[in-house]
Amino acid sequence: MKIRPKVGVVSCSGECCSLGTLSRVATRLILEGVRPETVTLCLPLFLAGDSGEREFAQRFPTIPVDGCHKQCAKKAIEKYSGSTAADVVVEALLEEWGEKAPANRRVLGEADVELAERVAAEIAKRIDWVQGGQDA
Amino acid sequence: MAEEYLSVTVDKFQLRVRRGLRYTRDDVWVQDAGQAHRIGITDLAQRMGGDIVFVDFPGWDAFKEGEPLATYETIKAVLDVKAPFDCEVKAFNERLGEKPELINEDPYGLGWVAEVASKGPAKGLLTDQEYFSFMKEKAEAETRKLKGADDD
Amino acid sequence: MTERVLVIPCSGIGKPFGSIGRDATLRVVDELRPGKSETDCLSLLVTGDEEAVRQVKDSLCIAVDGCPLECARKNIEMAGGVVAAHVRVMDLLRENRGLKPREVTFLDGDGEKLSAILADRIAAKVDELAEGQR
Repeated sequence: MKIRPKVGVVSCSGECCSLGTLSRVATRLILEGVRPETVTLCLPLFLAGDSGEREFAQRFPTIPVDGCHKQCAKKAIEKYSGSTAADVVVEALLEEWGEKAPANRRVLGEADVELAERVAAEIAKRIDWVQGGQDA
Repeated sequence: MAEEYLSVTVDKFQLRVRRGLRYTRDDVWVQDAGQAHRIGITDLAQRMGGDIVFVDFPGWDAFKEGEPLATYETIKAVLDVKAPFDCEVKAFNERLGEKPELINEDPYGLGWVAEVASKGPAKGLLTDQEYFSFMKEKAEAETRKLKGADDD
Repeated sequence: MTERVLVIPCSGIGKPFGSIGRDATLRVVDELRPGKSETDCLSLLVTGDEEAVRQVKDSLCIAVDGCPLECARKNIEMAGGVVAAHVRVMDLLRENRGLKPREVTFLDGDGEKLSAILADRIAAKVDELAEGQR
């Protein structure tokens, strides 16, 4: 029997540019089907909520999904809970793939959704790596 | 002094059962106060249902055990607050009309649903410890179902 | 005080309300009132980013919250900003009982409708606040 530790995922959901939208959609795709066993944490609740988000990120490996180099999700986890298990920065991924950020930060076109799916696949790789699996 | 609640953490959520109340398997709590009983829904019920947007009370006040004496509507569904025993409602929590979120915020306190007088025996109510065990199993089963967790 | 009204949504990721609030905010700042309003990342306030905190303190802020947890309002206030207007998506849902938005990732039909209604409400608040500044 493989024991797979719980993993938290936190998106920056940044509003200022479409990278935040991509990070949000990719994180949602993870929750909805790619890796439904993960726990999605809500970033604003790290500061404004009761301790649920912060305590989860303290106890379980948590992966920030950030839109840009400011890496707000990573910084929030480190500030309020502890170190992160792995990182995803959408801006860096797009640069690696030679892709441009979506033109519209509110509405994603078909090609943009495909980009989000590719980002979700990267998040999934990191989840799988973190979970590793220990034989019981 | 014993803590006011029994609690367990499931994922990022802390689920609480208030000590000293009685409970039903329909996730309703009962607070006894002489001839009257105050009732509401449990922390588990409000968490599973989600943010409550409307609470509706029917136009009558006599209920058999198991009948819905109020309904609450969330994004996900319309759910019943089931009468824990045969009863007559003496008062509904009118504040829930304006602020249904009181049930989410304070399910055992300000989010009470109704005050009732029993019209029959209250059979099969659970103690706080019994409901706590029941709640933990239910919460964990729900989590497994939602996440499609499997063991290899 | 900056000229543009700052609209900050909670963008809560777990519920349709968060997506609706975010969508409506972007409708306002990008389409309905582009010259009069702007938005910034709530996540920058969570981390205490100096520039974001300064902007919040320097602006008239509208907090757009999905649910009673009110993360946008709380985070703005914790950063030392003043919430000049506060809009809650759940309250708008209560005014429009027929709408049942269910989806979070991509808004469904009812989510789009509620976003449009909310955007008009926010735009009206932007107009009020901008008028008050003149």
